Amino acid sequence: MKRKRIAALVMATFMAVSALTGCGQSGENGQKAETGEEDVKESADSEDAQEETVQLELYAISFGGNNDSLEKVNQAVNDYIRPLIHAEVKLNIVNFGSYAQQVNLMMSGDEQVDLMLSTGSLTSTLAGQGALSGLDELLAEYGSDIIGIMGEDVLASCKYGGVTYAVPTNRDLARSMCYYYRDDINQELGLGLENAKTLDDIEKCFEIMHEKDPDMAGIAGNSTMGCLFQYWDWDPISNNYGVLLDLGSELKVENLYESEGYVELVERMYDWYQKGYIYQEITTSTVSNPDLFATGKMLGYFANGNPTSDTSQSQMLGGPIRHIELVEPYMSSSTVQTACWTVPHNSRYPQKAMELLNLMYTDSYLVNLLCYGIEGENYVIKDAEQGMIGYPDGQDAQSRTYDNTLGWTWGNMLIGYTWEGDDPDVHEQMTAFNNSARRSKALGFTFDPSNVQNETTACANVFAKYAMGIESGSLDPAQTLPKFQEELRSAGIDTIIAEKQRQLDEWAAANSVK
Amino acid sequence: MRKKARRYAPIYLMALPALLYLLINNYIPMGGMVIAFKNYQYNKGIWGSSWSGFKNFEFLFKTNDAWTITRNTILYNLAFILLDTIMAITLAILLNEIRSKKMKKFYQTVMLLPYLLSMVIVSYLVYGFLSPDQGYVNKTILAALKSDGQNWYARAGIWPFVLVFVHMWVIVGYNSIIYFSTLVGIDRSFYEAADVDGASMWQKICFITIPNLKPTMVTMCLLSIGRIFYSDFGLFYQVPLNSGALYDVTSTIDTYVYRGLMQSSNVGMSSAAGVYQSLVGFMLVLFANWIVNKISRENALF
Amino acid sequence: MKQTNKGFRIGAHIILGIVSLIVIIPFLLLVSSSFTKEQTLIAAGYSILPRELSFEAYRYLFAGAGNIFKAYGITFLVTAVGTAAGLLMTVLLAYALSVDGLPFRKGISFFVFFTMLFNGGLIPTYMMYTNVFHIKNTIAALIVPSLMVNAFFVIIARSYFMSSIPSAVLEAARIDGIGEIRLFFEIVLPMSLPIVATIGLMIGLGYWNNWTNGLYYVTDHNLYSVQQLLTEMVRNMQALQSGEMAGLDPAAVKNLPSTSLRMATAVMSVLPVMLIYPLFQKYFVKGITVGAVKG
Repeated sequence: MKRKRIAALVMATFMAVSALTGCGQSGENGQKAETGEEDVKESADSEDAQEETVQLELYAISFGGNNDSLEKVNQAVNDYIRPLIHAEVKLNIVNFGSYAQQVNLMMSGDEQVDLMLSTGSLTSTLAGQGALSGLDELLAEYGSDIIGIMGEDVLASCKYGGVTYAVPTNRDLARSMCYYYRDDINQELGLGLENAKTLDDIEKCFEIMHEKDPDMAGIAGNSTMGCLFQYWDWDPISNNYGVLLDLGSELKVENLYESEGYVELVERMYDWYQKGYIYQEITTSTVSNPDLFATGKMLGYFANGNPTSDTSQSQMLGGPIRHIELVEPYMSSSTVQTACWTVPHNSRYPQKAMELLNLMYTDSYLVNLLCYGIEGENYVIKDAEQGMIGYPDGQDAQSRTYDNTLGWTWGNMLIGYTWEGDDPDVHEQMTAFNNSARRSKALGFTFDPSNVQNETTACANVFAKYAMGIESGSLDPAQTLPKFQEELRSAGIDTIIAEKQRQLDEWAAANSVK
Repeated sequence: MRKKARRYAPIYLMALPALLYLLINNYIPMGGMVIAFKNYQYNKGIWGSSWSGFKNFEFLFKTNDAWTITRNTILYNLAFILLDTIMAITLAILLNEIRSKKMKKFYQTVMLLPYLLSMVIVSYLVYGFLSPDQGYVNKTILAALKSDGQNWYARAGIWPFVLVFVHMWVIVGYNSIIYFSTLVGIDRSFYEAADVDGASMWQKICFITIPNLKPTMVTMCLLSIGRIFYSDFGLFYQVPLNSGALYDVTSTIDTYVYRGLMQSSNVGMSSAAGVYQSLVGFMLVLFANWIVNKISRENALF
Repeated sequence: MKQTNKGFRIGAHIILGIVSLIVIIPFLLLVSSSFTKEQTLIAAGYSILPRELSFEAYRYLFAGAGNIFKAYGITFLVTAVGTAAGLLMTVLLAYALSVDGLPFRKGISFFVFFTMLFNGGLIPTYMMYTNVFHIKNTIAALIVPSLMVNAFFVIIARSYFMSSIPSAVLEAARIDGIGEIRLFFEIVLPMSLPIVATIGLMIGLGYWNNWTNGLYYVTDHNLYSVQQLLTEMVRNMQALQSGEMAGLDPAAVKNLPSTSLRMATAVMSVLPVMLIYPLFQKYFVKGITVGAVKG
């Protein structure tokens, strides 16, 4: 009790000082000081605390482009949630390119961050270094709706050392690897891709393509990708150094780069590259896919897919895009962790943060506001019955003033509107996609690399050296693959695999997975 | 004593603002270097995290690449120190001989331009020349010579030269300004006297110009030695487009750390790398300064 | 003797001409690709002169992301304030360190020099500036951290003062009873214009080119500088296309900047300096008035 009081006192002093010096993002000193007092009460005895409005700080991402309406949207959000949960929120939108750096810094400082989006491997890195609060109790008490919506097994994928640190957003939680292609080119050249099902089939189509138009490349890409097969039909268990090849029917961690499947894959790529099926500058180009496709000399590329991907890819590449599913959809811890919400250790109001998060999964008005902006200004209803919306007259993807491409980051977009051009039942399709996906046996296991840091950094360097060249087919696997494997081994990949196996066995025993 | 204090008080006062700034901006955060020896946990803070000894440093040495990255870092830096100094001084002397004010301005402005580009943009320019399919070298120059194009990003042999060239392209104009400003400051009467004695241009450069530039030269070199374990990340990572085929000649300590920690950013390990780089540089500078002290005392840094 | 001078000067012109050409050609490539359509670039390759003019990138830069003018404002303000303050502090310290017989001079020099070799690293610096000084998302965040006083410039200026200001001049002035501060501003400074201009230029370029302060301390888009705008563009693109993010919604990729847009932004960041720098150069050629003072 005494310690708590001291902590409260320190906090109050700090708040007073910051109010005096006029710091803080809001700039409303008076209000800051008030919320400071409120906070002291809340931490002392939260039950009887008077419900005063608290100010939450939320961090999420954007990919650039005009976002001028953000302030208005923020206000509308506050007007809406204030009576519901007695809280206001500041939406801090950081450019994705700087996000990891910014998060890293914010977690070290004592800034208030109540709710934070986390992407990819960032989540486990942060959890491992003590940046996140455990959410199990908060979820049970204030976020029970989330548990119902996401399901226990999906939520368990964001556990780290037995504690839940993150809540995945409701979107495509599974991954299916696909080959996407421009259907107009396919039809024009008569390639027959619409009937292709496997890489072998695609290869035959490429043969025809190359005959008819030798300048056309079947696979596009650029140097920033780092590799072509970050994901395929294996569970990468965080980082691909030691994977579950068959999604873990035996829970045996194996060396991906020495597996038959991988060797076959890269040998095929080498063959394709030699024959000119793969964009010859793939390892050095800095041009983005939309620009590459604008040349009309690109047929397709590999990427993961979900029910909306044909539409979104078509919009992006400015031509009708269709896909061939090469790997059946599957769900693993890393596919789930691609985007999730966390409550960092420097949250001032974790309880309120969870209440807001709960709304982001259950309240369609709030979800629409966050995903699409203000009705009439950022979007208009095109078909009320089907909940279909689109740009107001005179606006398009270039001139929009609210970033509406980030629905998948805002909690549960599946209860919101659908965008013009998508199937009206795309949300149902997405749920079905997630539910029907195969589940990796290690779903729910997250690897803790702290015991093998030296090996991991060494392997990451070897990987960076060879992966792009080998996987894009520009290096001959007969010569370089043995070198790649050898250097990985001497960098300690076997040590990582052993450690992974050990942790996985422990996890399996604790969770009675067989 | 009092008199001395009275005399020097205003001088200390002049030094004070900048010293305060350095104290705050540089010295206070230095305490944070202990992160390198900690098992850093965000929620426990720098001081609350447990000690980890030298564990964070291990990844720099327990790798087969340790030799390559150290060798590359040092060799490139030595080449830079030597060539930068020679080129920058040469350009400064030549500039100083130009009488036409217009041309002088023109040359100076042009030579400074590259310094204004960020390395990412420079890397696009290099790509504009060396790209196998779209590059100026393959597409225009070699095509005109009826010679086959090369995949420059797979030929490690040329990259030491490319990188040194790019580095100099960016920095030499900027460095020459420093020497130039010193040149302008040389008392004209020295040259006039030399003219009377019938000294040649070359003699004037050797006996008046170079000795006058020596203090600046020594200072610049000593400072570069202090940073000999650092490398310009943009130059070694962006410019070769992170091409794996070139790693043997483009990997440096900084790119190794970046690639290794990209996925699992570990605060302790990245600060360990920084401490290691500073420490080696610091010892080398102490040593170099000691030598300078022996040879010509007045040029030593401290 | 006059002959050799003239020959030397012609040689100087030739060498400087070649060097200028080496600099200018890549710049032409930069400018020309900023005026070239992406598709042309990919199909026909890079060229020194644009094959067909396209103003698309510039139109987008000025219209769509009208932020560039705001960003210019921020960059100018930050550069002006930062350079003025930094230059004053740097020169004053450098002069103090050049004064003969100043007690603790070696110690202070070492104190200054040491900052070039060791730094606390990003996290401690960030913690101090945000937790103690609360500069996050303020204009001060772009001005104060790391750029204002650089030991390198202090040392460069100090060696200039030591080698180029004759001590006889200073002694004479001191005997005349001029106070140290007046001595500096009225005698030393006018004699040191070249180095003051150089240091000012270098601090200014440091501010102009800087994007790291923005990356670390600014998330508010209203405070973006030109360089930060450019850097974020490139960083977004790299982050999005890396394998790590292969799972993200590809719709976001729509907003990726084309090569010509990246080049155009780079041109825009260089242009003002190209225009201002020649005006600034008169300080370099002003020459030294040592003789006058002596007389």
